Amino acid sequence: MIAYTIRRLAQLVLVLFGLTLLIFTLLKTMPGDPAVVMAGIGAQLETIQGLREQLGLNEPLHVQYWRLFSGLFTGELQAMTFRRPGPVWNVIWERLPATVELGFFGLLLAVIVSVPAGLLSAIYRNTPLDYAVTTAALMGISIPVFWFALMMMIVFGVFLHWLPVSGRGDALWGWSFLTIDGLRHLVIPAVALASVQMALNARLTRASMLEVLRQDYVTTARSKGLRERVVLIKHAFRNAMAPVVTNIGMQIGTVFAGAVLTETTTAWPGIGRLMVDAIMRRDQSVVFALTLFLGFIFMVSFLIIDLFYAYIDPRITYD
Amino acid sequence: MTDATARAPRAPLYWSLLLPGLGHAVERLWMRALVFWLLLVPLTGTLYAAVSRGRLAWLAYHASTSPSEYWFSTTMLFILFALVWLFAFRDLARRRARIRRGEIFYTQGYWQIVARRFSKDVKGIIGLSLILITVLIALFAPFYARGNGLSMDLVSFLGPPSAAHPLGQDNYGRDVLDRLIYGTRVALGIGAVATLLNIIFGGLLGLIGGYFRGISDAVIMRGLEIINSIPFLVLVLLIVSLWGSSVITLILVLGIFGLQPARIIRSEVLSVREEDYVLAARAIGVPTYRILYRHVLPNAIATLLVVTSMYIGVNIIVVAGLSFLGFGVRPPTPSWGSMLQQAQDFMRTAWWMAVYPGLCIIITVFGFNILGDSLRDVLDPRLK
Amino acid sequence: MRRLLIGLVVALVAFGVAGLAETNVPETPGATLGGTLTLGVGQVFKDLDPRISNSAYDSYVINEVFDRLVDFHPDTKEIVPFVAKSWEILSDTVTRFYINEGILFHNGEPLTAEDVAFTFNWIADEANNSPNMTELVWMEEAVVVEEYVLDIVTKDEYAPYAPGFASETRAIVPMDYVLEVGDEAFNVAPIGSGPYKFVEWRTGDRVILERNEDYWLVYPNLEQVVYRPIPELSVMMAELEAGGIDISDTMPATDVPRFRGMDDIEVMQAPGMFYFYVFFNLQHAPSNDIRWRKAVYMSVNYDAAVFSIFQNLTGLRMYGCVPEGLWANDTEYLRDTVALQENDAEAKRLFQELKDEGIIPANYKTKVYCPMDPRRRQLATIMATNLIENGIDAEVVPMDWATYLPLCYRSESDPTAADLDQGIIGWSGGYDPHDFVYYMFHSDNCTVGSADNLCWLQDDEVDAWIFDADTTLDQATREELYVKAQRKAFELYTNIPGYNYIQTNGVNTRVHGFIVDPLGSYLLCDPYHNVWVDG
Repeated sequence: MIAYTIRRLAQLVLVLFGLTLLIFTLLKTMPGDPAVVMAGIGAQLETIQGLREQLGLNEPLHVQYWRLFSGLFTGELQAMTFRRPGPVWNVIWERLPATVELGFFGLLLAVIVSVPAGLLSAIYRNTPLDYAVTTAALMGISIPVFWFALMMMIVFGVFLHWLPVSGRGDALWGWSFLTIDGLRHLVIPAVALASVQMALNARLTRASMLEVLRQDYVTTARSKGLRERVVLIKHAFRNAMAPVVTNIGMQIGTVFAGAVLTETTTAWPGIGRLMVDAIMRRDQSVVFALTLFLGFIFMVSFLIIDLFYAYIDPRITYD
Repeated sequence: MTDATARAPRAPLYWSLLLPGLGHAVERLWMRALVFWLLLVPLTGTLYAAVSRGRLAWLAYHASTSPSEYWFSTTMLFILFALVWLFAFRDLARRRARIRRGEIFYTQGYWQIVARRFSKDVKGIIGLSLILITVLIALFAPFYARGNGLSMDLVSFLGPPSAAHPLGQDNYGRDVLDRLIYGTRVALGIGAVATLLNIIFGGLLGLIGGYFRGISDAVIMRGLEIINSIPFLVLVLLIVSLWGSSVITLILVLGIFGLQPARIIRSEVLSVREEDYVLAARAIGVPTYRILYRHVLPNAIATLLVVTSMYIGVNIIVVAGLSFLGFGVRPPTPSWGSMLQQAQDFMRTAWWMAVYPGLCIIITVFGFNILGDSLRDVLDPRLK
Repeated sequence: MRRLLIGLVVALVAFGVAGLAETNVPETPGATLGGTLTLGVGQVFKDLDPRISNSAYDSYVINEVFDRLVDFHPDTKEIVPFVAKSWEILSDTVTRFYINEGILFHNGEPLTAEDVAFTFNWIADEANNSPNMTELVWMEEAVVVEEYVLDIVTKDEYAPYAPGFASETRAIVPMDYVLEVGDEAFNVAPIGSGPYKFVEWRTGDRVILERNEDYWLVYPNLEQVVYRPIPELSVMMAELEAGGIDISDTMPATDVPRFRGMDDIEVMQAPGMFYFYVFFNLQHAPSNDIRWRKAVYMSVNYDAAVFSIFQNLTGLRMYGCVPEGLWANDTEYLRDTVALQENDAEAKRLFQELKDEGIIPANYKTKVYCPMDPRRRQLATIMATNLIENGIDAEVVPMDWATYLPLCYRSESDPTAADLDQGIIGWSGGYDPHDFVYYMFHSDNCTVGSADNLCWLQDDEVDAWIFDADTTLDQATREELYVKAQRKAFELYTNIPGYNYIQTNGVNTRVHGFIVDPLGSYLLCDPYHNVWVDG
């Protein structure tokens, strides 16, 4: 177990390192000049060149790579947005709570709806309930997240005036869900984000539950005369949930991708939009830091899940 | 045998040459006749639409500024007609040959079984029909659309759904319905070709990694992990910023970097690899490529089919998402995602600009997803 | 008698108390003192140091925290005194400014000629990399003559520099304070001599200013001014409607009718100082052939196109590069004589001619470049569609600024530069036609890496006219010369003039005394404005 953990950690480091190289190559081969954006239209050539010097864009590649890489850890990496460059981590830190909040509530909503739906649909197989759930789930993965957000904005915001159309609303200590206004603004983005996750989870839960219900020990339990409810809760449920929990953890990636689109549509000021803006501005520091940050989070969550799996199931061997 | 020969006249073949399905009807094979007639209906309808709008190539040449579209659609129309004709003929001819050989024609080959199970599955039929309709619209867009989706009306724009514009106008005065019809080409074209590339490229990688193991496997898996550690959308955004956003670039980017199939194929290969017949083949000394081709691949095909179908859906949504963010197909080419992007500014005044492109995406992707689901049920004996 | 005495005492006390309570009477008739004004800002603030800020949004704050050396009269756009109470033109190269005495910075230090000179010289100094350096490139140096007297010396080759005055409407910074705290600290917490003092800047969010009780010019009516950056236009409109902000700095055309119908919001407008246009690349084929340019012009009905984008609500078609409302704009001649009407037959004929001569290669696909901005992208889409209808395959290439600007600048590192036939871009200027004509057409501005003359026109006659116009002080002569230069440039169809914004502000009816600034900024308190709010 320990050896496995150490091996996985080593792999993590290796992969992250590979990621830095990949991102750096992409950033350096991309056409576009951040100094020009910073200087603005009508700037003098000397200003632009001066800015390029200041940003260190004229130095040899390995020097730039080292600066980006080390800057990540020392916190000195500067964003290329303003003439008064701010540390990249500050920029990211400001906008992180918004996305965390959105992702958390989106996922929470998705789980609350999808897990019971999936379980019920597996238990009452081939009934109208089952058909309804499976069709809804299939529909859910076919709906583009941004379109769904747009529809809700039109119906609930423009026509019915029940919810604010876009933006984040007031925030308490940086978290907007702590205020009523903030919660109202959170509804549409969270539901939009949840829609796809809900569908995926429901399908998975259903499949997993079906698989478990087919197992011998369930049949045995039934034949022993245990009540159906006991069978379900004590034996089937827990085993069915294992792959579901794993999958929820893995969905952090899709949540973020969905967040990029949702944040852009509903004007939610999170790191999804920051990423898109930074790419458009060719802000190499922010893109570099943000991608690595995300990569780190994903890999760590995968690792935790895998370790968890390895811990609880002694039969699993990894090579 | 000689008895059977007497009962295999040539007449149905001639009837079939006249009209596909007639031959089957004459032979009292009602189901098959019905199928052929059903296949003919949309094609005939398309022909009618084309003729009544003056869109067949020699008429269209003078009417349109981009005759190449019409040539393509006209050629496809006649090719499809020819295919239906030929297939009906071939079916009858093979049946006749089997009768003459005295075989029973109630065959039980693997694909026949699959086909029968498929035809009983409602989900599959629905999915297949949706996809066929979409493909039909994409192939024959110039025949169905009333305009070319580009002609603007800068005097009266943003009109609501009306007789002249059944789904309304956008902010340039263009007809939304026409743009949706032409948008099918972009969505399906990029989605389908990109997924094909995905399958080929990813499948190859999965095959190599899964079969040969060792270093190649390790390298491929690490590479996959690196690419997977960034959300796909972000990766594609970065690369599209790099390479530009023409149709070819989008296809290449999606095709090369959407490598989920590699993992799936790899696990499939891993399981097949340990089977007895494969081990036996290796022991005998069968060359590797033949093992791959004759043993490993056919077993993976079932998974491949399901994966293809699901992934076309995913790719269509990703392309729409990219267009929505502004990185997709360039204007003025119609694409569902960019139509949604434009609709954002007009949420309050022109809701039809946002609703219909989204519905199109949903219907198309739903069709592919439900087909994939049904294929998975049909091809895997365990799961029913 | 006793009652009279008591009455007198009471009256005296009452006056005394009243006097203590309200020592200030509003100097604007009908105004109420106090209250907070909340302003919507379309972009996050970048820099609050006027020496380095070149963003229009930063100027909202800078206009209130600082005073300018001279200012523009809101109606006549003439240069009027502000910090400088008067000036004398001593010679072609020297202008002497007399500074008002008694102006104090927010930290109590007096404003003297030294501070003015420091401001101007710092900007003009190359070593400081200020983006505003280009506006002072004509200046040799600013010299302190006496404590309140300053000379501005023009370089010989630019003398006498007429547009120089416009660049002297520049905010003055306190030299001692700046040198004491350093540039970076000053940029986030500026101190000036203006009507409102800087209180707080929450990074990425709002800026808060409060009244400068000791303002030398007039007593500012507002207690507090809050600037809220709201990058999403739809969110800003929602906030305006809900009362979260009092004034919005812009308004999309589609929202104008809706807001006009509201009781508590007034839509105020004034013609802007912008020039959005299509430029052709004169450096390569086919756009270096005048037939191509004319054919592209004739393929589109630009009046209808601009109308469909703005419905004449927030934008208007332009026919020259100088906005209407500014002298030397020559709109009538350019519209009636030079502008081309839509003529598809002629356009097709010209394109065919070019194809026959091989200037347009077979299967040529032209690109219409534009930034991501939805309005310019709309214009580009209309152009591309019309070009396709006239037989030229075209597509729109929206680019973000990081790639678009190097392309326009013909930066050597950009390999797609050879691909550039036409592009759409915008420009904004001040109240001197020099700001438009010089930058658009003078060959000085054809610098690889930072050009403004994006069509790359290099015509000696045009250059000479513009130079003469810049170095004469007589406005009538200048106007004639600028008009001549414009006519030639437009008759060569180097640019297709597009549109000018109509600066539109949504103003809550609780705000009074607000006037729309054509330059798009907020002007709250200066010799001509002193905005106040109800309750």
